[in-house]
Amino acid sequence: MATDKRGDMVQGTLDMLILKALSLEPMHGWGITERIGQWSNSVLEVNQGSLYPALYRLKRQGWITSSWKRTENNRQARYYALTADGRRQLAEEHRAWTRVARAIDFLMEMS
Amino acid sequence: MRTWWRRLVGAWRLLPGLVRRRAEEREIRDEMQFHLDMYAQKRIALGVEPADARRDARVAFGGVERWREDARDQVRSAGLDSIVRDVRYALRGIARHKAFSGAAIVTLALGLAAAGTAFTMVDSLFLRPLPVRDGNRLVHVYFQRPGGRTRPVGLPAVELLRRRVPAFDAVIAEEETDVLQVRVGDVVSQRFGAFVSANEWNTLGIHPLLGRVFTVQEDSVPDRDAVAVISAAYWHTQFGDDPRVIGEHVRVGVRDVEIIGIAAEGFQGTNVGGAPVDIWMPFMMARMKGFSCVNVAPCPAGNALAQLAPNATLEHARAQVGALSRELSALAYGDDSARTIAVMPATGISGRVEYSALARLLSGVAIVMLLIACTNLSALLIGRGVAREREMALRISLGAGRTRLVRQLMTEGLIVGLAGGALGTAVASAAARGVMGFFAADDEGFQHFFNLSLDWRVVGFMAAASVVATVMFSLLPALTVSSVDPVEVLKRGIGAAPRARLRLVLTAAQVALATVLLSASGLLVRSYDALMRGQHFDARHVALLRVRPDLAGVTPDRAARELGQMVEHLQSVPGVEAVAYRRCCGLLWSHTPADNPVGLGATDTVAAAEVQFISPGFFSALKIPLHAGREFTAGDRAGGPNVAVVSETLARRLWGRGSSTAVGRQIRADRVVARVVGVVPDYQVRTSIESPPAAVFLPYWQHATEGDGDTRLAVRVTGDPARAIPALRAAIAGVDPAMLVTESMPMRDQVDASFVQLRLGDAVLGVAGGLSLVLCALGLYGVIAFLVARHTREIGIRVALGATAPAVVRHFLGAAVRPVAIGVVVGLIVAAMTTRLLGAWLVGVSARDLVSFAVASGVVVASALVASYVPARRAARVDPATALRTD
Repeated sequence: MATDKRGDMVQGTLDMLILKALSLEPMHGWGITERIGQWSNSVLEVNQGSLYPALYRLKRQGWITSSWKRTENNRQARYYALTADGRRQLAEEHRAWTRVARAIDFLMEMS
Repeated sequence: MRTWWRRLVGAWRLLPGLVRRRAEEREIRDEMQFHLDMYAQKRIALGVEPADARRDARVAFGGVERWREDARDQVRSAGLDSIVRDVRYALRGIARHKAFSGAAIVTLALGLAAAGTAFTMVDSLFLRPLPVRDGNRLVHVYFQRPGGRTRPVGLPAVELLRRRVPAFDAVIAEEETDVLQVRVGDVVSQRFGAFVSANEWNTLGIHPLLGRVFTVQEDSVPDRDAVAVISAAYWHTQFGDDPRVIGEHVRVGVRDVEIIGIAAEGFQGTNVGGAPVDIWMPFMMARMKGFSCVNVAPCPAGNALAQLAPNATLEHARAQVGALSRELSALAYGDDSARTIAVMPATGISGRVEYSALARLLSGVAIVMLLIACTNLSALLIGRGVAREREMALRISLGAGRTRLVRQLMTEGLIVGLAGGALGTAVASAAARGVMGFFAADDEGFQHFFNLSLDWRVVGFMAAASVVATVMFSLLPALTVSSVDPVEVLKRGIGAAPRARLRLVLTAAQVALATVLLSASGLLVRSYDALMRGQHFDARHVALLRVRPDLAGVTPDRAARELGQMVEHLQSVPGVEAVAYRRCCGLLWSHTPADNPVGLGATDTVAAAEVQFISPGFFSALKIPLHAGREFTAGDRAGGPNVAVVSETLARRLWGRGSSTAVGRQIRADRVVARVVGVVPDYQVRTSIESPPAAVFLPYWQHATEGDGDTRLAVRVTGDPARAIPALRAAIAGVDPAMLVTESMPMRDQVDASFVQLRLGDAVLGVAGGLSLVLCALGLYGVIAFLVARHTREIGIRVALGATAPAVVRHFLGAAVRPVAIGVVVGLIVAAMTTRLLGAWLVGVSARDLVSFAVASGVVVASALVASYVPARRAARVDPATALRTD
């Protein structure tokens, strides 16, 4: 459900995970990939090809903002941060996801 | 709602990115490079070779170029790029359907042209500053009298304003002359002139084309410096661009003046809408016009035109001028009673009050025409939208959002709108010139000049109007066309029924508007007819001539003698049936105010009337019937008993009913006690519903040497008066070759000129009504044809089942009946409510005249029937076999 046959995550879930990843602190694109991988114990892998288009889409919709900062290794990277609207959107998408997941569980449990 | 807002803000955030595209691309590259490096680093930390690690990174990305494209697409899809794509797509679509697009652009251009013409008129009447340097900082200063009249302040007052009003940088004194007789060598022509103070040139930024302008010294002593600057136009036509005109002497009226310079090209004085000035002389020469005062108070001769100082505002100026009002009064009139002083921007034309009714009419008509054009276009686009449903359905199923489609359709609409606006602007330009051309020649045969160039206000208005019109006509179709259910459409390929209903509603709206216009048109036509029928004179076959001995320097005694001789000479010209004349003013008009006290005895005053001095045989020459008594004859000369003729209104006011009772009574007018010998109807030309003035007529020859000799003659001839005029002028010249004859024209033209506004209103409404009827009919035709096309299969079935041709025709006519009926009824109601606004245009006919309304509705219904009958007839000829085969 979260990943289709090719192992890419369906667009909606990727957005939600990105927002969640940023909910703790601002991060650059690479950091987001790593964080999602770490938190899910490598179950979920972000397809590199869909990450940045997703980030730009989220930025256009006003849920994240970006700015260039220096990393610990003194390199320039573009950091993304969650906006207030983004936080609200995250909560909403989480609610929707929970509803769907519960319904599927319920269905699968039926004998 | 919030989604919209968020998207808008998001798009706004991306805007800087779009604008500095290259910088944005570089940032994307840097970001991805960073990511690749980090990925490679991670692999290296796991022990992979650096080169392999970097390759792995690129592989994991699956082709950097490809997702750089994807990322860029995200950046692009909201913003300039998609707009450019929309525009290109729209242009392709328009080029593909040239006939349709052409019709759409022309329809819109008609509506916009109407709006543009009206606005050009309003603009030149009210808004445009003088076409000189810093024209928008010029103001008029004048006395505002009750009744809307204005009075000039005079030169002494102008000098006070110069000294004591710091808000004014400069104040110019101007006075226009009457028509001047200018003699250059042997050639005599009639020109208009003006006396202006020397600072006019500097203040207005008018530099001489050749020679120089007069200096302040030359404008300091009354009557001393007879110098003149002529206009470039006069130089071209009269002097053939000959530079030796500088220094030449010409005779202006009775003075010789020296030409010292030629004004800048295109400058014809500051009285836009008035006569073009060809000669300017120093203000100190103003006594040439007959003023006894020039710069010695009290003197009210001279209009003030002031320029605001750079930091001063209109309010400053008003306050400062207001504080001086008593002193200004004293300098103009000799007493310091309080008179209202007005300081107003010098925009628009003088005499704009005369034209404002016409401007209002044009504006009203323009709005209605624009509405009709937009409604028509809307229906047209909805109809075409049905043909595009497949295209829309495809785009929707490929992922285009409704917003995107609406935007696309509105872009197409905007291109049509702007094209229509451009075409409309060109047409409006020509039409405005045509409209003002009606006014160009006034009722004395002199040309007025207007400033009708295309200025930024008009262009801006047209652009705004195009955009507004676009929104009006394309929003509805865009919304309906884009709201298709793609599955439905692709399955069945037939549009939904609401389309046709919507078009019929729009058609009803057009019918209503056309009915309003045609009703108003009918009212004006009847008005004009009533006016014409109400005239008690016959102006055909009459030639008009005006002699101005006052301008040729002839004394009143000599003028009277010469007039007698002229009349004899005129009567002996072959073809002349009668000669009539009147001192000073138009024979059929009351130009002088009706304020002469009239009484029954020597000292009482019972009424106020206008006094006219007329010739023997005046009324019979103009075919004005007598209600009682007789008119003047050759026997009514000085020395005989004083006689008078009165108008019907005055007779009734003085002696009650029965005009015949007035004959033989005594009356005092103009300090003369006379016996009434005749009563005439109120024949004077009136252009509105004001009540006729009371008039007393006295014999010319009993008061022969009063007045300055300015006399208007009407000569009745057997043939065409225009062709007789040269012979008549020759007859006058035979008595005095130096006599100045102005205003020689058929009287018919002069009468028409006084009705010019009514005639123009008639023409405008008639044209607008006709055009809107055509648009309506075309719209209705389109809808019915569309219905026929859509129901072809159904018709086939009906005919196969035995329906007759008339039945089929009736079926489709029936579809048209309801919207047309509703449209006409609504139109009549709206017309009944709004024709009141025509107000002063209506003479002798009520604003709800049933005949006009009935005729208008009849015309609309008839056209609608014809427009629907044609496609309905085609439906009846449908061959059932072919019909059932079509999809």
